[in-house]
Amino acid sequence: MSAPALVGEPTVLSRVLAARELPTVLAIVLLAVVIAVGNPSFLSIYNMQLLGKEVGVLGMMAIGEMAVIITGGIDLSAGAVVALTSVLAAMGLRAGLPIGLVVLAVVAVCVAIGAVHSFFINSVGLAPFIITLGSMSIWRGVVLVLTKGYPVKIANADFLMIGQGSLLGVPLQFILLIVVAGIVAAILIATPLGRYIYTVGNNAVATRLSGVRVSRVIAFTYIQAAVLFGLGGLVYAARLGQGMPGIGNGLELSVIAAAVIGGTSITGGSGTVWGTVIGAVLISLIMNALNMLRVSYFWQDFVMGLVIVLAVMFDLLNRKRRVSQ
Amino acid sequence: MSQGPKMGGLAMADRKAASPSGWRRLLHRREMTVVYAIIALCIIIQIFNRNFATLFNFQVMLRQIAIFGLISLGEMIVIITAGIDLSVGALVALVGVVEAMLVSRAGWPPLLALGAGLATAMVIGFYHGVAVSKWAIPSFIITLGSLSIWRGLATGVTRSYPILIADEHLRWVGQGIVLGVPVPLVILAVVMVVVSYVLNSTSLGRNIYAVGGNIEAARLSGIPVTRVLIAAYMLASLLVGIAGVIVAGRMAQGLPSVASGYELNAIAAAIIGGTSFFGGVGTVPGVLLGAAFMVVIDNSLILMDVSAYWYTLVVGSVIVLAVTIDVVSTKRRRRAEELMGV
Repeated sequence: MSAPALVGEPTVLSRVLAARELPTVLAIVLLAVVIAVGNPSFLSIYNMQLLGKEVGVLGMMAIGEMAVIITGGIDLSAGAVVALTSVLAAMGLRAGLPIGLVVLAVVAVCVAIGAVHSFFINSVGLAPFIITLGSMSIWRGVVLVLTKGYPVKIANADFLMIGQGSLLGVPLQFILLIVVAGIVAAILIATPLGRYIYTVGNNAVATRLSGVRVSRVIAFTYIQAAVLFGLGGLVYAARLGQGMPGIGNGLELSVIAAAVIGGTSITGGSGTVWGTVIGAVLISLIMNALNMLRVSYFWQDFVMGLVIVLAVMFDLLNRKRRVSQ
Repeated sequence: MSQGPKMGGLAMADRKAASPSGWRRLLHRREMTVVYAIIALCIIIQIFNRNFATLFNFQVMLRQIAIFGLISLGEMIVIITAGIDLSVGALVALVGVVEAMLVSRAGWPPLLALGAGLATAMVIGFYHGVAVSKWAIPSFIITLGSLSIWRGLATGVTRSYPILIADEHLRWVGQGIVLGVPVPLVILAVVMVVVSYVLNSTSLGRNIYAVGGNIEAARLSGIPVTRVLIAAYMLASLLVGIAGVIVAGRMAQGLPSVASGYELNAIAAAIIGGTSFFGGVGTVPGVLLGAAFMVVIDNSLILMDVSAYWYTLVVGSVIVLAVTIDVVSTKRRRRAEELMGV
């Protein structure tokens, strides 16, 4: 109808209205208002910090998952890697190892896990979901064998700071998210590797033919994903004060949902760090809403499953509409 | 992504033409490898624990094979279409809860409650089929969502409490014995015959293999791909639903947490039984042997006094190993076919 708007330079307003993240942001605002009306303590500083913590750890892991999904892959091992690293960290600290060494060891284990995933995908030719599903089962099994199902206490107060400390009222894990988001965004936007991650997802064959070592790009995404899951495990361990073998059950779903809600296409080729963080905010808010509005804990899985299915369908409709335009 | 190009589902025909006749052919079939593995495993367990080869233990294992077998056959049908179903465990739980709630809370007649449970499974199968074929959502993502949704629904409506089933008929489905044979095994036998017939001798069955072998070729040759996929997912979910009513009958309750992680078992059983992840390949007897193998492994860990915690680790390793063998051998065969100019 209004032709001038189409001809002229896009205004700030029109750009905002066209943004892929707009519906998610609106959903966040709407949900926040609903919760605040239903339960005023939603706006308390304590709850905001809780929310910040949840966004911090979930966002960090979702960013890792996002890079994998952009290449057209998937990593279902998030929850299991979180359990493994939280337990390994707790056991390392119990054995009296210094924090730096524990963190380093956990990162090394995660690099190895990511490398194994990408080996099976690149060299053997397994579908990403099947190797990471098998991996999920294996690491859960290892955790159970290591702990016999019992939690491992953490006494090291400095380590607990990672999950419980804050700087000027901002939880440390939220600051960690900002750092991670900055690094990954810089890689995606400003480096050749980042460009290749997108092109692999759009057309792996064409990317290979243009001389890019696709297998290395894929290896990078799975390794960074495993490392970010591992850091998530450290944060959880520090937050709970123990390595919990049962933690992170079904976490892969929240992580994938956050990425997809944030505009990462499940078929690969698109996704942004910024969008994924917003996705993580919405997921954390939904979880928070269930608590705040006193919806039974037992409905959590149901809601999470619905969210991911709706997010995937929404993404699909969006792409179809864009194609028909 | 890096799954390689899809080729025609000619592997079945190849295999049949491969070896000569009679006993030799039987002994060289791929399924026989699994039989040898099961026998070897049984001998080892028997050496470690004399309680293995007892009537009681065999009865326990056979009942478990009935349940695992049904779920694995359902998984096989989906994998033949080159898909995956991660929601089978959740569906077993939901069907049991639906049946139990309808009969115990709503006072429905038992047969109707059982039928409603199976109908629930088929509706969910329909939804999976539509999502995969019409909306082009990857099967692992739609069934991963389902895993969470249906387990969550079963947990939510029951508040995680089991719902008792007092009705004798519904218990009989899981606990009864006909002419000395446990009812679940009778059901499994009937289902095997029916599924074999459908897959091998009906156009639907042949179309399922064709769609899984090469979906584009199937579409171009006029096969109604969408309808075939929907039917395949519905049939698969029905088999899982049957397992659900057996499990509920056996425990005399609808338990929302039951069958957790069974999808891993089912996938492992299907792949061990010769179902190919590339689609288009899979047989009923093969998958049954795969299910038997998984049950014997489960049983062996218990009898050899290995902590149950090892089971998850073993299942994961078995999946990775079996899929790796499948992928490597499929690739090798295709290369050989290319060299021979097939």
